[in-house]
Amino acid sequence: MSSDKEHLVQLRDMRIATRQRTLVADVNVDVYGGRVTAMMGPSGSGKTLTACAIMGFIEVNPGLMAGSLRFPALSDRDWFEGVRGGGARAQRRLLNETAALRGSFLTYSPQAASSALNPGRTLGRQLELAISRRNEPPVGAQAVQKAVEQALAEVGLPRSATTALPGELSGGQCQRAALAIAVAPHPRLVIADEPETGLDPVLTRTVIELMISVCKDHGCGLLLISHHEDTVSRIAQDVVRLKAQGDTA
Amino acid sequence: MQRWYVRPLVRLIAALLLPAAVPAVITALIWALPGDPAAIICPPEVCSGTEELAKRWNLNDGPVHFFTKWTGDALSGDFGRSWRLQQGAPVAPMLIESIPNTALLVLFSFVPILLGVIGAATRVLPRAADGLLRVLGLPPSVIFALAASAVITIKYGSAAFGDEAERVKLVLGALALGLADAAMAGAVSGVRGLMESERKQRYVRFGILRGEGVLQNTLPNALPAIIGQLRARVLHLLSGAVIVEVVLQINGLGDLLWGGTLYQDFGVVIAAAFGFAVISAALLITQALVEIGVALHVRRAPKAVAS
Amino acid sequence: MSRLISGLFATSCLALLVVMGMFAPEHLAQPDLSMAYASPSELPPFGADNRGRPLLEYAQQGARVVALPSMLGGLVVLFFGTLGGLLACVGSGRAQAAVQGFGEVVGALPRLVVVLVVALLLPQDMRGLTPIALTWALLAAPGAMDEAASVAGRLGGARFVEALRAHGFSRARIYLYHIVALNLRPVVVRQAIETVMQVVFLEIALSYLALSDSQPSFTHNDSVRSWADILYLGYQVILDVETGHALALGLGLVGVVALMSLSVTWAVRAR
Repeated sequence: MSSDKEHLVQLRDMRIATRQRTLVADVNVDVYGGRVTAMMGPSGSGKTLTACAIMGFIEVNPGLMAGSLRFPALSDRDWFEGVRGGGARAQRRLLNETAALRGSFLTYSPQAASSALNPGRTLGRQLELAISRRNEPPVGAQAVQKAVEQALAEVGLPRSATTALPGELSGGQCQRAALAIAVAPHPRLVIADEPETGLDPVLTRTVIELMISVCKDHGCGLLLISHHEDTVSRIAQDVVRLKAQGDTA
Repeated sequence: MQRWYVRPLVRLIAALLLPAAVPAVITALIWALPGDPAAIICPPEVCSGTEELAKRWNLNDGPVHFFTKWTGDALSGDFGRSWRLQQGAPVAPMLIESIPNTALLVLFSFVPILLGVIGAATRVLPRAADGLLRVLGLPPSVIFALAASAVITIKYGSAAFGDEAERVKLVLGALALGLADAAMAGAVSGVRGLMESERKQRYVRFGILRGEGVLQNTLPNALPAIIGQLRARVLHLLSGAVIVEVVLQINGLGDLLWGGTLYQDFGVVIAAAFGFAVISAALLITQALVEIGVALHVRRAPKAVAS
Repeated sequence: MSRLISGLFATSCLALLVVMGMFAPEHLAQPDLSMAYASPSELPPFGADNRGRPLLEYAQQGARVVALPSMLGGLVVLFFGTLGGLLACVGSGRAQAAVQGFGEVVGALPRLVVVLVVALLLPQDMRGLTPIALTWALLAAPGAMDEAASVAGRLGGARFVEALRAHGFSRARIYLYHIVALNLRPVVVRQAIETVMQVVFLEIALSYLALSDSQPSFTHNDSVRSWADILYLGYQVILDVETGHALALGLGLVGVVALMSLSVTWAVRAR
């Protein structure tokens, strides 16, 4: 659980480029515990790329050219040290080094969740895996079962969803399931990537409210990626705006 | 949406019917082709006494009687007698004696294929190896078998039927079988293609973002298709085993089938085809059981996490 | 450029196969023992056999044995592959399920086993490579249909057709050009040429095995020589008989067929 104003993420002057063009440049992001930070920008401005970079997952070649990434709540380490200009190999190393953080310290709730969940694994099993990444995971079949049911109940999904495959859920249910999987490990930070994608306005509002409520209950920070101005102005305490090629305001 | 158990159930039914389907189709062919069934089974220019032949093979009472009599006898272990390959000898012992050699040949050739497949799935085997395997796999099995036969003849000469020579034949035969006709190349590139295609799915990327491994996510989903590919490979190897066994003079099921066909020994051929059908049925059952196992594993309720 | 070269090479090989077969002599030349085991330099282009008969005639007769049946087999697979792809675009789930089910049954047995049973049961006057090639091709057809159907499925199947219809294209143009020519072509042509190659190799294998047992082949009558005869002759080089040129010719013919198959696959691959 992160306390209010705990500095969770510090991203400075990040630049990611391909051989042909720069994808994001001079990106600065600060995320604090207990607060909602929104990252806004038009399509193609690099919001998802930035979010993935914060999670140590950069798939672009040559990729990271400049910038620093710190998680001050954990340590003073600059995670981009040795990765800048290092190409695919260095980025693979970053991916391996940050593996322990993903799914425990910080988690990710994707957009269009129905295609982002493993189609061959039941929701219960996916939650089980997420719960196992807690600092103190429950021990014993009954405790795990209880934790799974609790996670489902938090997002308004019925118990029967435990044995459902993602293909058997609606779009809204998948988005709730993705949120449940994201908060199940009790992370310090949840990155929610355009959770409103593919949902109608009523459902969008419901999902966003649910997201904020669950994050508040768990005391974790929320980095919300969105391009809905009214949603952001209503709920976000901090806003990062990406423009074309990543100039931030 | 098709229920998960439909496909494996269809496979299980097919597997149970296959050993009976082979003699059924052979029976249908005999009666569908123009001419006297006895003359089709053994042409007059090869065999004399078609009336006695018809009586021995129950051909006078129609296809249904022929089929039920043969299948009933086969299920009780009686496959009749050879009339040309080993005159008068019962076919059952010939069949039983030949199966282990074929099984060993196919098993030895399958092991490197399986290792190659695992290497491709885990990306331990580099993509560059696919090109090399493809080139190595260009020659047909008869060429590889001839090369193996040449090695044995040069090394052992007239002693090519001793214990050591038999072992070497098996090893070289397995190597020939595993490489020829793109057996290994096809398996490796097929599985690599499957896994690469699965890796490109969106859920894999988000599995990484959830802190999960790539193989952890992709392998269970790709496993039924991989098992299907491996089953096809084993069938391919069984097909090639006929050629390798004959060229290298290995006393296997393929050699038996070939001898029976060449010498128009119908009893041996139908028994050998039945033997292959039983092996094929076993492969189908294996694939179906793996599919059922994966589906049940997927559907199980959450249980204790390893502490 | 490389596609053009591959395509030209493959076409030349196919044409050579057909032409060699067309000009094959009905019977081999009279023996001339003074030319026994003659090398290619002594009797161009390929030398002679143990009785002084030119190996060129073996190659020509062998080409005639395999040319038409293998191409017929290839055409059968091409037809069924195309049909499989088109069925997937028509959106007939039942037809596709039937094809898959049929494929499971047909594909459940090793192909050579089925071929040998057919070879056993065929009446003497129906024997030859053609029925064997057709059997092989029919056994390969369900797999070809399945593969083509999955290519069509990746396009979007019936939705792809609907989308192009909305753009004003006619059904005939969509099926023949957009689906078959542009998308299915790499797959079905590759399947067809692989079948051609497999039938040629099957003929060599069956004839060689029969030769080893001094029995007549299932694929051609005794008065005709096949490429297996060249290999059988060449194999004697391990017994110190001067038949290295025959071995080289036999392996060369096998190599040309394999390269032809690779070249066609390369030439028609998707852009």
